[in-house]
Amino acid sequence: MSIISKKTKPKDDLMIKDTFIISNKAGRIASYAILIFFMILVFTPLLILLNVSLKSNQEYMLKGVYALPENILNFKNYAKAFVTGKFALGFKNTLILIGVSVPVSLLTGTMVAYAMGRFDFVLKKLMLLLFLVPTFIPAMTVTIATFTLIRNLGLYNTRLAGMLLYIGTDIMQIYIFLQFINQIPVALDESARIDGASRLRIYWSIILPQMKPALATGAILKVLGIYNDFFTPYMYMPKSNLKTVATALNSFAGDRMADWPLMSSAILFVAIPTIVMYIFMQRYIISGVTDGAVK
Amino acid sequence: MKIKTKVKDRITVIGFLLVPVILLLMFSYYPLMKLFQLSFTDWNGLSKDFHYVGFKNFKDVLGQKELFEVFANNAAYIITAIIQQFVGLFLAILLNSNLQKKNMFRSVIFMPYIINGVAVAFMFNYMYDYTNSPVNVIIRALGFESHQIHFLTASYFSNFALSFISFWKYVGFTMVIFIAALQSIPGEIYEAARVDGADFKQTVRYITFPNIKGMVEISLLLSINGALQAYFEPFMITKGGPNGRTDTFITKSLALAFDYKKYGKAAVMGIILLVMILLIVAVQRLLLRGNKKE
Repeated sequence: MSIISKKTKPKDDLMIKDTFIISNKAGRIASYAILIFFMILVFTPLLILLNVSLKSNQEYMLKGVYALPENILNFKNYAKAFVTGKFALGFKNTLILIGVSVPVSLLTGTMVAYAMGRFDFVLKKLMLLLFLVPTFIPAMTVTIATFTLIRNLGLYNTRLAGMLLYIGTDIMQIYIFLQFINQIPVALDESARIDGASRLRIYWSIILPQMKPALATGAILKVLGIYNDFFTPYMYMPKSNLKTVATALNSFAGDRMADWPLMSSAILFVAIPTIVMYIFMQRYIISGVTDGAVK
Repeated sequence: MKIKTKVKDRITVIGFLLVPVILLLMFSYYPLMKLFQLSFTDWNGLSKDFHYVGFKNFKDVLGQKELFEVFANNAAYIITAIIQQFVGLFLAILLNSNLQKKNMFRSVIFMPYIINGVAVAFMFNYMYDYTNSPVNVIIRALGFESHQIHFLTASYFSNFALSFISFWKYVGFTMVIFIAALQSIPGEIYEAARVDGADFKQTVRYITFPNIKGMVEISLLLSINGALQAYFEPFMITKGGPNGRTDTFITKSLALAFDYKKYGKAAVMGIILLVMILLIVAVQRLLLRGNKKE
């Protein structure tokens, strides 16, 4: 057992091997310069906004964008933006969407992967094709039709619209699960079956625990995806009490774009949760997106 | 006994697949069919009834000069996406070498990928402010006051300013993908090249490029695919304006449906885009097959 679970863990080691050797001094300096330039490119907008967000309005009017704030612990703009933008509601709504969609999509995804990966049945080839075709159809091209469907189902302006779209359209995840399930030895299922375990039991107490690393990666990516998604809530649930973090920020911006200090703090506290998540779960996130892309 | 097992297997398969398949049919296949149906109607999105109008919508949309003007805007996103691929590859090559602090560089450059897109769009709206943009601050400091950049105006350049936002957000992603691709090339080949005295340029040219050529081709096609679907930055920042100068194919089709209530025509635009994307996917599959044969 322990050997298997070791094998199916994600690549713990994301260390990059030295493939190329850059030995001349000029080459090394140039390489570092380029990489540092890109780091600066990443941090510049964030730091400028941070700098502005810590200033009071008068201070900003007098001294502009680049002067350092008088009091670097002045979080008044953050508090004001959080309250007037109704971000508490936004965070609550986003969390509800995540809380339902993430576990359910992991469940349905692994169920499909288990059925496809462990059983042979007549229409299996057709089934696989059925799941493959939609991966080539970008959601944006059919938006108008999806919108019509959501409205005809009476789901417009309900949370269920977002949840169903998050659960029902994540087919890439199923493929990742299927690949993963194929690496779990069938011998495990068989020995459990001899001991009299039902198929449901095998799925629940053998397959799922074995899939923990894939589930963790899937969950993290899905949480990020839903938190960052703007289009689904904007399109299908625009009602003010259903606003998510992303759509709340958009509505808050409305005619406030001229108010740099206030907007900067709103932008930053919307950005910060995923940055914090990234700092702690980097390994899963980077290996997750790589696995998804290099299929 | 055996028959019983088979029945149980079948029940399991049906039980496990039923709900996901229903969701799949509802949210993937039905909209696709609905899109084709809508494209033949004059539906306004509100009224109960509509009429079938044959190929009128197709003729109208394809006959519009505006359609091609919009593609010219998308071209800026395609150019940026192609540049992004090569920059990402270049950074990946640098991070595959014997430099220090590679993990830190990778972590930082990848970070924008996980930041909320709305936040990023508004952030760049400020970065593109004429007086306060860091770019213009630097230009002024260097004494070229008359050369300050107008980022978001009626010139074609606005499209590049907007597409640069997605460059900023996704170049680290491209880099990470290429790092993984480069790491999968067996180390022995490089060892052999090193023994033979190959330098950095030669190694890249004769070992790296041939090995990841297929990956680069596919990644390029995917990025063109993405660029054709670009909508987010103009949708958030310029609303396609001023005067349609920054409209992309998608923002145009969304406006057609939701602002002008012409669902039929909007559906036609969706179909045109879908056909183009599927053509690119087909080319990609052919390339993939060709590469496997080699």
